[in-house]
Amino acid sequence: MKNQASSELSLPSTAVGAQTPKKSEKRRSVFWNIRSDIPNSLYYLMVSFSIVIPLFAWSLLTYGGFVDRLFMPTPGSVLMRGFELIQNGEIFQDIMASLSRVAWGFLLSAALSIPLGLLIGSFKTMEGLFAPILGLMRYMPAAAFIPLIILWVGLDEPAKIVIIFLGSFFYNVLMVSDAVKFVPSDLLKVSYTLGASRWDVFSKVILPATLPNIIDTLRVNIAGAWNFVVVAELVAASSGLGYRILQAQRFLKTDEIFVGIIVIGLIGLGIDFLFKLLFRLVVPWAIDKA
Amino acid sequence: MFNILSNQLLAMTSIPELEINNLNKSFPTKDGELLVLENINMKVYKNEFACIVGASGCGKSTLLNIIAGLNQQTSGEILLEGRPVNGPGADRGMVFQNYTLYPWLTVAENIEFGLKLKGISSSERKERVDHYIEIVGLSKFAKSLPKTLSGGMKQRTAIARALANEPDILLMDEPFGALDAQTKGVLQEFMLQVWKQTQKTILMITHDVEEAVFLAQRIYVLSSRPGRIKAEVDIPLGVDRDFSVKRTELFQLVKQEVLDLLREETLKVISQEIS
Ligand SMILES: Nc1ncnc2c1ncn2[C@@H]1O[C@H](COP(=O)(O)OP(=O)(O)O)[C@@H](O)[C@H]1O
Ligand SMILES: [Mg+2]
Repeated sequence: MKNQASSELSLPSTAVGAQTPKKSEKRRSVFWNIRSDIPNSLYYLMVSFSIVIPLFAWSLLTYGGFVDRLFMPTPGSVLMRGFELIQNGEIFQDIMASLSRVAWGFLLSAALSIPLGLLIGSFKTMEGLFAPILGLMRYMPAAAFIPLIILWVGLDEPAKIVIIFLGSFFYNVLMVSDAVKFVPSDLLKVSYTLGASRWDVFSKVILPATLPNIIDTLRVNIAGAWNFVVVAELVAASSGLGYRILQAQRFLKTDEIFVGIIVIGLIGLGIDFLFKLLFRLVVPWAIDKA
Repeated sequence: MFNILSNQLLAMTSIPELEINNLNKSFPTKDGELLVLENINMKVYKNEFACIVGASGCGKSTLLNIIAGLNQQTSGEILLEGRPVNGPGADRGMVFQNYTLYPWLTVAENIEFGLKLKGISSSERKERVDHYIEIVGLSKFAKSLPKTLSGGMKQRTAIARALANEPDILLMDEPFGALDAQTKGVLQEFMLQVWKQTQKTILMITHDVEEAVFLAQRIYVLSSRPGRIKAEVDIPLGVDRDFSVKRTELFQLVKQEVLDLLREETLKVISQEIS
């Protein structure tokens, strides 16, 4: 990858075509290479654009006075507000409150959905029993159940946990059961000929074989659960990042709303990273590159 | 050294290791029953290396799966050492074409898998794993994961894993079908050596006639749609063969004989498809 960098560095010119090709042979631009490597320098240039351009647009809009600062705070004031919230420690309380809700709701969801997904994927009988009803439930938005949950569970912590649970459970089940279908049937067959019982095949072949997919499923779906915590905290919460955002809106503290949203995003990124780390540690054999 | 020929002659007169009597298999389909195997009768003797050849789609895999107990015959019986086969078991080892190593286990752990299921003590397990990993020449790769192995090495691991269970018969379904020609040639010779060294009874399926003639003591030629035993060909090439046997006139003659038998089948299928 690196050795190409020197000759092909001139991205804008090749892309825009400012240099007229001297010979008749036309140089094809590296920029639009389909599914192949590009020079590292070009890649990181694009990465920096992805951060710099929105930041620049935001600064221009706010510092340039194009929008009312009441509705859109400047990057500087958001940063300031963030430091304040870190200094007085309030933000950490909110983070802990939200994280623990997601942790409980999602742990519960994972603990039930993984076995259920494996059962549905492995046994046609279980598929017949559960798949239709779960398929239907999946299309019912968890948020629509909130009134019912309040009636049944109340307004306390359990209600929020139930909402997060509902928001992730059905997708977990579906994706885990799909993972079982990716286990090659010859792998199951050969196991029987090695003397495995059905239970052996389930526990010693299907379970480990699907583990990488299960971890990936959890990684994808915890993002949904983490988003859902805001929805859950609309339900009479007195702490949490969703609650913080709601309060800020009430007092027109848009900078605080921004801080809340950015923190939610960063923590989401952190969770994603942790699951990728977990994948590398638990199922290193499933990493593509040898 | 291993006196296989005399063993084999002895075995021929005794009961066969594997015996299939009047076996039929049909699959239910949208357009009614599809007869895939019709009136299969065959025997594989102890220490024998037998091959089944046939065009693709003629029911070879179906037959082997039934022998392995992974699939149920519609009628007929399968006897292993005189006892009827019912369901899969470790007495019939199996090697498939592809994707059958446990990717989360090392080479040694893959070979050990069946031994653990059998509840064999860890010291004996280690002994057997060492023995069979040596036979397939992968001692240096004992701790490697399958993803780091070449296709040929993967198949050797799968063969060692099946052998380590010490089954009565080793069943192989086109084990070298996914390999490149060079690797395939090397593994064929390797397979002959393994057979001589372990004195296993082997039943192998292939659509590659040259491979079958090179490896087998006896070949069953399967017809197409439905699969019937069209011919049984003894291969008069002896037990001690190496790659050079492929250049002999006798080899070419036998190969041509089997090819001619198969060609009729292929023509039959093509004319069926056209009409
Ligand atoms: N489960 C099944 N249901 C219906 N037809 C099947 C099934 N399995 C195999 N067949 C059919 O049986 C025939 C033989 O298949 P197979 O044994 O895989 O052939 P081969 O291994 O010789 O290529 C094919 O025509 C295939 O379509
Ligand atoms: Mg086949």
